[in-house]
Amino acid sequence: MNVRMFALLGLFAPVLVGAQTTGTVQGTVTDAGNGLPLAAAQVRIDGTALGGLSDAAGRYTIAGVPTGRRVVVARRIGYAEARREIDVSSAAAATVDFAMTASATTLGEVVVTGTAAPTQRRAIGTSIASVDSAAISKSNAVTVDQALQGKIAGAQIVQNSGTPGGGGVTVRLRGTSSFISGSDPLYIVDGVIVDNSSSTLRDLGSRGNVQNRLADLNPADIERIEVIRGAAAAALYGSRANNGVVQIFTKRGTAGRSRISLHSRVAQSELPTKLRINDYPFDIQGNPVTRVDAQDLIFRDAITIENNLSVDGGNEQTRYYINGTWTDEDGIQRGEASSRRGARVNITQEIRPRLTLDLGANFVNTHNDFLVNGEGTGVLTAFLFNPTTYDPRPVSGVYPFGPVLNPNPLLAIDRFKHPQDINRFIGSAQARWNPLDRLTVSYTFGYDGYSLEQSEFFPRGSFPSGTAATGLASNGINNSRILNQDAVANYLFDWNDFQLTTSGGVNYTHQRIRNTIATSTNLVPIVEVVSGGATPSAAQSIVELKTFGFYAQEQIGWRDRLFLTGAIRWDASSTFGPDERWQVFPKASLSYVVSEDDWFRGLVSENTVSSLRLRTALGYAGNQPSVLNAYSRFDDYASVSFDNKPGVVNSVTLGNAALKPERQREWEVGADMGFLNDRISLEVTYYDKLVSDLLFFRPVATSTGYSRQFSAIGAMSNKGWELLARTINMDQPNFRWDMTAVYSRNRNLVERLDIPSFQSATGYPNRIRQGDPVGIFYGVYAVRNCQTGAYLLDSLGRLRPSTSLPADIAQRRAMAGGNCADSANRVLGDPNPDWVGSLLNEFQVGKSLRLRMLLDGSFGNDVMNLSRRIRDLGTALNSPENEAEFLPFGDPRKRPPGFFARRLGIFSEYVEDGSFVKLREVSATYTFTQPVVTRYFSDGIELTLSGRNLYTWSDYSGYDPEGNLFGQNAPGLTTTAADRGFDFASVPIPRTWSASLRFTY
Amino acid sequence: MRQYFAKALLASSLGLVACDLDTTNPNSPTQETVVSNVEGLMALGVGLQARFGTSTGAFIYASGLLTEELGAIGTAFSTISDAEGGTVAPNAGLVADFWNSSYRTIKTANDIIVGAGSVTMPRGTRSGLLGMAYLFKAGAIGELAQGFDSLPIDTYDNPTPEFVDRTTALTYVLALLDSAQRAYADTVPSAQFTSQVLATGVDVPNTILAYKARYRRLMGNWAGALAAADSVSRTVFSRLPFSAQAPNPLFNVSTGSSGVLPRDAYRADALEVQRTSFFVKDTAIAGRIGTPLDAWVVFAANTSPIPTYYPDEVLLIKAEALVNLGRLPEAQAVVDSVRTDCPGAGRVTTDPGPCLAPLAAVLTAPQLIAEIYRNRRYELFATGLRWEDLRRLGLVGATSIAKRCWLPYPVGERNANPGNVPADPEGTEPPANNNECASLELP
Repeated sequence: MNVRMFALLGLFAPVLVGAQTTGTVQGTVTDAGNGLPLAAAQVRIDGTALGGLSDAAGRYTIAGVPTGRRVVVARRIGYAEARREIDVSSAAAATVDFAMTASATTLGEVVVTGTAAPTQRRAIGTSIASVDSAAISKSNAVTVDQALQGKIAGAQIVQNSGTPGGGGVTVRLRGTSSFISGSDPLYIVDGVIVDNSSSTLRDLGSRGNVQNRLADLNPADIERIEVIRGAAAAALYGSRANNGVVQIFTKRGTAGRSRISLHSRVAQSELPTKLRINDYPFDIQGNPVTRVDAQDLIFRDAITIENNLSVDGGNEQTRYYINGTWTDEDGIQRGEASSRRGARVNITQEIRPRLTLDLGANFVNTHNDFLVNGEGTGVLTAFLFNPTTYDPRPVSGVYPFGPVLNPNPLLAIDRFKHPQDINRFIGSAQARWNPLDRLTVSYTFGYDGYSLEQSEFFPRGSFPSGTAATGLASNGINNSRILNQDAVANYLFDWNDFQLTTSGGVNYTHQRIRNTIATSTNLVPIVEVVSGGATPSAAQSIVELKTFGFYAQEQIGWRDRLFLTGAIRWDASSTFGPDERWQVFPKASLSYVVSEDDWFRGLVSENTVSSLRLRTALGYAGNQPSVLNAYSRFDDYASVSFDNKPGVVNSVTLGNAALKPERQREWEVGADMGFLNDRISLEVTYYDKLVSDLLFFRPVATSTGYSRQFSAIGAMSNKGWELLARTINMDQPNFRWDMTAVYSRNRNLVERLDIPSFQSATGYPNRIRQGDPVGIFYGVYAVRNCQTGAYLLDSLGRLRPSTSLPADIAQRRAMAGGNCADSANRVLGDPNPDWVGSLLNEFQVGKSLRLRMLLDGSFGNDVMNLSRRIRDLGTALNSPENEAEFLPFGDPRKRPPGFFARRLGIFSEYVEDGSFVKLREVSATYTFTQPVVTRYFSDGIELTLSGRNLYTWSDYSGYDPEGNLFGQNAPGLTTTAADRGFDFASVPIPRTWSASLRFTY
Repeated sequence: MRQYFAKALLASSLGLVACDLDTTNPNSPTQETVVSNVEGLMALGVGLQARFGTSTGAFIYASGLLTEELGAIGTAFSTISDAEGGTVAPNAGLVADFWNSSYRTIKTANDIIVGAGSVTMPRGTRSGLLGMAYLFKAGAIGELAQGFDSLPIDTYDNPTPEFVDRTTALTYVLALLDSAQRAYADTVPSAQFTSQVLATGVDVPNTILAYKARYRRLMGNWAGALAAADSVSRTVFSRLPFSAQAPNPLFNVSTGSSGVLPRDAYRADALEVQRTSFFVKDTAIAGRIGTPLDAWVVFAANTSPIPTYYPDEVLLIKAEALVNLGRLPEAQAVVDSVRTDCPGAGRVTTDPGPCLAPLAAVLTAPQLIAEIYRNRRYELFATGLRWEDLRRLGLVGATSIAKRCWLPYPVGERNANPGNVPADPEGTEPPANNNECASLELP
């Protein structure tokens, strides 16, 4: 390793060059259509890494530009690229103003993710999605990943619950690519790999967590997000790129007068729909009863207040962006709240004319008060398990026990405590050095560290029995730290019609997680800390994970229209077995801007097909074992105690000395098209991914003394189409109407499974089976007559589960009148959608009013409605449907006694179509620019009224077809990333109304 | 100045190189570290006893449930009550629990046997560790051979072990017991072993001898069984101790979804009240399928010990050997010595004692054998040994006492060791009555 490293280091020791004189370029960027200033336009000096962004007033400044004749390029999403040539001198700043014309195509946009150096989109053979700050700030989302919902082709972004603080978001790029690691993409902020785990120290139910750590990022700090979706684009990220990469760029200040901006938002969230309840006035014996809807006692209208105060500005040498944020969000479930306090300081300092330092420091404190939901001792769980005759309200201060499941939900809300405190610091330092015009060397050091402290408290007597009956106090601390070092060198070389870009880089990541947890039961009354318990226990663990890699890339461009790129990444991880330590991930891509060739122009006029680019790419990427499996290559011995003596025995999981990453091969082919003078743009991509060496637990012969081994068990494919269409429907001086449509279709298939099919969520009716999509629902079904489709009932008029039929096939066929009930279990549904899509409409009315509306939908996915199922429990029967069992005999709607209790065991009866369309975002923004306003607030006052998740169109009978019991799927033995679409006692996603004001001074 | 930047950059890059990707797991030791030093091997010795406690418990559970000794409690899963009637599928938990836990005992014993051969340690520590490892390995294989008609014995570092028949397995068990005896006799076990490894109450040398008697009896080696039985101390009662941290496995499964308790049929003979009250007490609990159940006396707490053998098992083996060797009067005297053992008296005061009168008349050989088996039933309750006795008595079948001849092989083993696992000797459903169990005949 070291020998190879030193060879590479040659790249970072280039010849030092003499000082050069530099000058400054500045100007304003405006919309040619209406003359309004354009913010967030990228302005760069062509052929160099120098550049900046325009501010809200359209102003930009680029310092340190080498003197001489330079080409200045302005680019912005939604506009055509603009170029101007200018003489730069050291004497005075050169002024270049741009008036940009609207365009729906994006070929000129510069992206950096998945490429060794900033590269124009036209040169890249893969499709890369980008989202700008405007789309994020208008979404009213609390977290960055929520804000991305409905904005990226090829992505299925699901908010798993409606708890405050983000609710836990799962991002699947081009389908599920892994059973482990949650299958979520790699997140990079300003070049620093950040932790997006969903660690929880005390179970909050659901085997998952209600917050993923991306929730610590403040969406207001985000300038731009780039998303690459598969191996073809992500090969440069090597063994961590299987699930795609999301790179987030935070705001950098703009040179010029300092600007102070205050943004305040107040929002109200509410439960969109209540579940209807059984309010039948008699019990099963016909005695009158009073029924209570506990939802009225559990849910509330909740207020969110968000404030951001930022200052940015700077001069030729120094630019800065400082932001302080303060957000308090109450949950719609009483007792839940989340708050975030944070600050970010970003400084860009030109140290020498050719040496720039970017510093970023972000501190955040996130505090959550959560309640258990889903499985276990949940609040909504208790509502669904208990009959509506149960009134949970306290009587003389005593909270009555539920007849079926405890705790009393109101006791849980009032007295239980599950606080989480996260203190996190993300810091980055990047040095960029241009020793030559054509050579850029950069080095990034990143740090992402946080401590997560979580406690739990159940007062004495909260449960009628069990270990927590005597009270429980628990406290755990999780310290996570990622150190990241990244060095890249990039050299440009022109030769006749060819432009060659040679890049090389090296990356080292060191992740360490330490946690300690102490729990005690048998609590002294009043005391809520662990030391108040008589029966303590404790645990500790330390995990270290190191990844080291380097890469080289060569890009050959021909006449700026034909580009061929080849790259190779070598990666080593401490999680791999010693003989599998180094893994190689190559990629190649081709891009051809057909529309700039003369022959094409001879065929089609610019008015019809204004631009056309064809692209294709092939790449490999991997997926490392996660933190949970970081030591799976070792044969671990576990401690046991016998006769009060300490002992050890082998863990039943056999170590795998040949452990290596999951490996993905992906190819994609696509086209980017512009029609009618770029008024319409269309990006189409077809991809084909094959993940082999999928990691999971392979059963081993138990006669060896082991039960399983973490190893390669099979292969899985994802194939699909992505369409992104942008149109400028109208572009008048006083009215502009833009539309964006996104369509993503993915087909997942478990191609090969070397182990028997398995229930991926232990205890739940789902499977991973060869020849089926991952995580299909599988289990017992209600037997029907094969000809008529009518239910086959037993002598009491109840449904017959497929498992109750005799094992003999002939007898089964005779009973069902055909072969439709031959097996005891079968596939019941598929939680993977056929397609997901969104439609965004944006309007600019006059100079001051902007309107937007985003519809977001998922189609063809099934949901296992376990919330409805548990209401069928014989002792619960709390849904309106269940009233049929209470009706007097003789009533034609009467269901026989035990009908629903019998149905409870038949999972097929709870599979529902989970297709939905949501009115995800609606907003209206008015900017006051009257002189009386601009006298005090130079950029005006912006008033926004908006809504999020306002309405859901769906046939689903539960609260919400979006969401998942297993949260972000904490990977392990009992759930995998494939387990989706389970609705069970999760807090529904609220409907939110907001009003916000932004003052800029 | 610029040179400094260049140097800083270079130094940072060098920092990248200073990484060692060979991490170790700080949370738990690995096999290499455990088997390569004395502390690790001694800890394995403790772990071995814990594992044998678990596996012998699983043997008692499976055997007891299939021989009308134990019954499923009301909260038990239907698979448990099905087993009570003899229906056992290859994926049943009780099959996997018995198989897996026994092979885990064997794995830990093998770890010690392999490690103790190469690690420098006091001679008395090695003799203790090796004696114990061979003993419990033999014990686990011997118990497996009473539930499965063939089984792998060569399982160390062998991902796909081959199956051998019971005779081969039991021959191997006797060879292991010889090794245990030799290793233990090498030198007096050190204080290091007896104080830091050996659990209080466990007697290794006498258990080795008792097991030799037990398995020689199974193999029909009557002279050998007699010799071994005679060499067992009459005053030792060797028991595995349990605690809250390592609870008695049978106490542990007296509640919950796998729960079993003794069936009250054991108490039917009023004359045997002295012995039955050692094990159970009448509490009139209804089982899942209506079987009346009793509460444990012998396993009434999570700290209740499980004997590695009952002292009178040795005497009953001796008596049976004498009958088979034609020495009937001696045999009857031994049977009488068991019959007249009274609670709180005798050679061992804490074992079951029937406190019956001596046999009134001189018995014939078949009569003596019948009396020996009758005594074995009462004396050796909840030891798992009754299953083999019933097989020998031909009392096997759906409506007989033992519901099955053999257990099916666990599905986990079949899936991961394809090609080596033989066809199940019986289906999921119990066999017909008085089934002559195949592979019962031992040389």
